Amino acid sequence: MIGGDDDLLGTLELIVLLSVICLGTDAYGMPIRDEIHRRIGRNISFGAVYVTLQRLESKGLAESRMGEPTAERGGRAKKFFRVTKAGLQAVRRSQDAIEAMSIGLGEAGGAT
Amino acid sequence: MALLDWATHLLSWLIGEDGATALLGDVREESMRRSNSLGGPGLLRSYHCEVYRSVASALRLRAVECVRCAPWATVFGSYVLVGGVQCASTVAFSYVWPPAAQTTSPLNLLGQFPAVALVAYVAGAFDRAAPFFLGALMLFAALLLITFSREEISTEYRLAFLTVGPLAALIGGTLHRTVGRKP
Repeated sequence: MIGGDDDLLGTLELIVLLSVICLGTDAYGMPIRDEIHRRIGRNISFGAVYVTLQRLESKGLAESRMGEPTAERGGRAKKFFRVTKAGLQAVRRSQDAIEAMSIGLGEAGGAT
Repeated sequence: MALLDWATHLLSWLIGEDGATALLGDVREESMRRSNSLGGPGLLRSYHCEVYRSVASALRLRAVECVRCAPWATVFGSYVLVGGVQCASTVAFSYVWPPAAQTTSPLNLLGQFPAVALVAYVAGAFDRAAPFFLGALMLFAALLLITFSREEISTEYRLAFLTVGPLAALIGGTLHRTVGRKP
């Protein structure tokens, strides 16, 4: 049994959380978007990244802090994100669910 | 620039002041990074495109969230109740206020205003967002009926049909939020 009905992450939520984990302390909007593009080739907008991160924050799976404003950003600060303990557990649950559901796909002709 | 200002305000509303500031900074940083390959006008165009694209994505995702978390059982339940109220009030009007008993009379809709507001107020007790979804549903239903109805409908009735129900739901919901708030 993998958990309740609503504790699995959506695809975009999982991708963004994994990206934040990969980036460590340098996880803010632009690197998060670049990391997603580099790894899976999807050019998602900053708007989608921030809405997803805000949703993850409201679920307690991520947290944020504002950095210092910099000149190259037009005097605007970066918003850094990190994954919480609950966020790491949610990623693990979603990965377990995907792995469990993927067993036998090759035999069923699902693999290419 | 007015459009860009408008987009910035919309972003602040959608992802908060901090989020919007950081997002605009990210877009600016990316534009600066690409400044070698893009010229001045190209840079500005790329900045604007990215901001508008972000607004569109954020709006779409927020709309999906809104629809997913809507209290549909309460909304449809209260919509059915509104239908019942409309039938009952039409029958009642035929005794006490005959001109309003005609179902195609704007007076009929106006007479139902307090009852619809009351239903919305009660729906608000079950879920604070329900009256507003009820209003949106009533507006949607009115638009559908007006668009596809083959009957002759007077302009007054069209106007009343489009405004009275949704407005009553909105007022009922707002009343619940203000009057029904616990001290």
